[in-house]
Amino acid sequence: MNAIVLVVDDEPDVETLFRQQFRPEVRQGLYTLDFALSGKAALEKLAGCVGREIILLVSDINMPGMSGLELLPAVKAQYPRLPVFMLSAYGDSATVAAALERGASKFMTKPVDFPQLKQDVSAALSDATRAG
Amino acid sequence: MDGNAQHATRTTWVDMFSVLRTTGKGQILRRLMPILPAVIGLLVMGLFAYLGLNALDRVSRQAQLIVDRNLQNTVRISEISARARELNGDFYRLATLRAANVDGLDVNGDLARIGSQVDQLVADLRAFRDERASASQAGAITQAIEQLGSYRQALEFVGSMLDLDFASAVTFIRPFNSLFDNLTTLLQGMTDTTVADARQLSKEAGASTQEIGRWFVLIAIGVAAAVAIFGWLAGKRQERFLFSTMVLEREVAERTADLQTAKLEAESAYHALKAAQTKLIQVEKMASLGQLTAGIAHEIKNPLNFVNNFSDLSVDLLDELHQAVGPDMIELTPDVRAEVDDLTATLKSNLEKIAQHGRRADNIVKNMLLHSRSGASEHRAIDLNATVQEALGLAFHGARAGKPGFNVTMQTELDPNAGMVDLYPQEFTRVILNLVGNGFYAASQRAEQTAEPGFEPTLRTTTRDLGDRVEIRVRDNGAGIPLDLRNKIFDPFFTTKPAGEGTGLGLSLSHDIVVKQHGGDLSVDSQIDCFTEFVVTLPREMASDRNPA
Repeated sequence: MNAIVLVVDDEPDVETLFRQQFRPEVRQGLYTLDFALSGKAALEKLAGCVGREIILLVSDINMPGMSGLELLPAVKAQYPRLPVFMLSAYGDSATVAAALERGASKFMTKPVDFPQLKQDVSAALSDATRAG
Repeated sequence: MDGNAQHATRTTWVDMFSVLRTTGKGQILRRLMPILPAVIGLLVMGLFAYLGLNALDRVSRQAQLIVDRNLQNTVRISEISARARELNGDFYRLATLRAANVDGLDVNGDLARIGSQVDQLVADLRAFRDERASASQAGAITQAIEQLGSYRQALEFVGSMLDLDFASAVTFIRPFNSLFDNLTTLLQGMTDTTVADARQLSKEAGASTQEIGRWFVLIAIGVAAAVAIFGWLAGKRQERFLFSTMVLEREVAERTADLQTAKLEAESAYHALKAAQTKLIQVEKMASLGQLTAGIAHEIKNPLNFVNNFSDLSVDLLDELHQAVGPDMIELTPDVRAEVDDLTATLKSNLEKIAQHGRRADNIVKNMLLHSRSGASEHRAIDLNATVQEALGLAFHGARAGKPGFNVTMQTELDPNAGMVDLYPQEFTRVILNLVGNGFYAASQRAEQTAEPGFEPTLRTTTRDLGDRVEIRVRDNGAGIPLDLRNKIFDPFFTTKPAGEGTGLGLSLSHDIVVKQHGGDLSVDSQIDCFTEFVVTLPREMASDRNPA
């Protein structure tokens, strides 16, 4: 089984950062990372994941075009069981509440606490394995 | 309507006053006004007195004249009467002497003398009649004069007959005896009449005098009454003048007072407005600056995250690299190995510096974002003293942890009546931490720099109950804030601390929290080389419509 974590962020350097941060996990073959630069791209990737399983979606909120908070309900409508983590620079209560209300499993503020994220990803992976 | 009428009357009085005041003539007239009736009264009295005296004088003179004349008449009549009697007596004596044939008698001469005396008497009577006698007297006198004329003729006749028949001549003259008796009676009566006349005249004069006196008294009373009435009217008018003056003065005083009050109110309102405006400008400035900095902060935050993340990551990668190449390092020459070790160490140190300064920048950005945060924590009623105490402990331990050897004497005076206050606990604690932190910094900074022996860095915190408000004072005995900086300390990014020690956002943020979030007030008082005191005033109950942040 090829578990994929899809990261959505309009910043291209996020990919570099995440790849470097998750290098040990990827090397160990626990899961792979995929990246989308917009909400629309993310939905396309989700739709086209034949033979691969995306076990977790990690999305930024503040993005041009479709924002994370718009992407979230769209994803949840199509893939209700897919856990979604939201990332944002704005950790205010209104944003957090909005994200959780629309079905986000977790809310994380930037800068990302990678050790914490790694733990949460592992937990999501084990959930997916159990369910699968 | 009433107001208008009153006003009109007032205006008239005012006009009169102004006219009286402004013209010189009016000035004199105004001064004379009160004594004018008295002067006129005196003049009238004087005139009447003069006229009365004059009349009296005239009457008394007339009376005197009458009395004098009557007296003279009486004397004259008496004299004439006496002469007439004497004349008759002379004749009879002559007749007697003649009858006795006394020698040496000049009968003719005596008769002539008697005759001339009669003439004289007639002349005198005539003169009296013409000059002094009254009409009734004049008739009697005329009659007497006529009879005397007859007597004269009789005398002449007797004279011519004397040598012939004196006796019969005397008989002839005898009827004239009654003439003299009558004349005497007449004259006596006339004397009496003139006396009576004089009396009557005197009485009339007296009556006339009395009448004049009465008139004078009546007129005097009238004049006095007129003067009194006039004086009363004048007084009344004067009183009205005085009264209206008083009313005017009082009204002027009232209006002045009203104006004064209005002026003071306007001034205080103006000052309040000015203060509010200043505050508003400050708030507005801060708000716009807050939005601007928030915008900048957001834009900076993401790249800054990358800087921080990548630098952290690179440190780890460098360690990994070290581990990876570690076994192969032995193969290198000691020089190269030393070079590689040195370079990787420097690289690591640089990355750590990047991470360190990145965190510093991140700290600034975080504080900047706090200015524009929305939907913060909930406000609730908390125990003010407990919260302040908690914040003080936190600040003190934080400062001690951050700076070994830190020591500032803490004084706290917490008003037991401070009680519960409705506020945002997190933000309020942040404010206290901030103010206390600044106080610690100022006091310990002075302790480090001053040469004063026995200087004890002290921070005093007091709470005070102000009824519907509470007050928190944080006072340090540091170097103080120069006057020209006091307006700037609440500006974002303003700091007097050396680069890297302060973000310049602490007081700006505290101001935001106290003023904008809590509807309170944050002010500062300071004296160079003495103290700095921040005063936070918070409403006990927060306005219900207040937006959080």
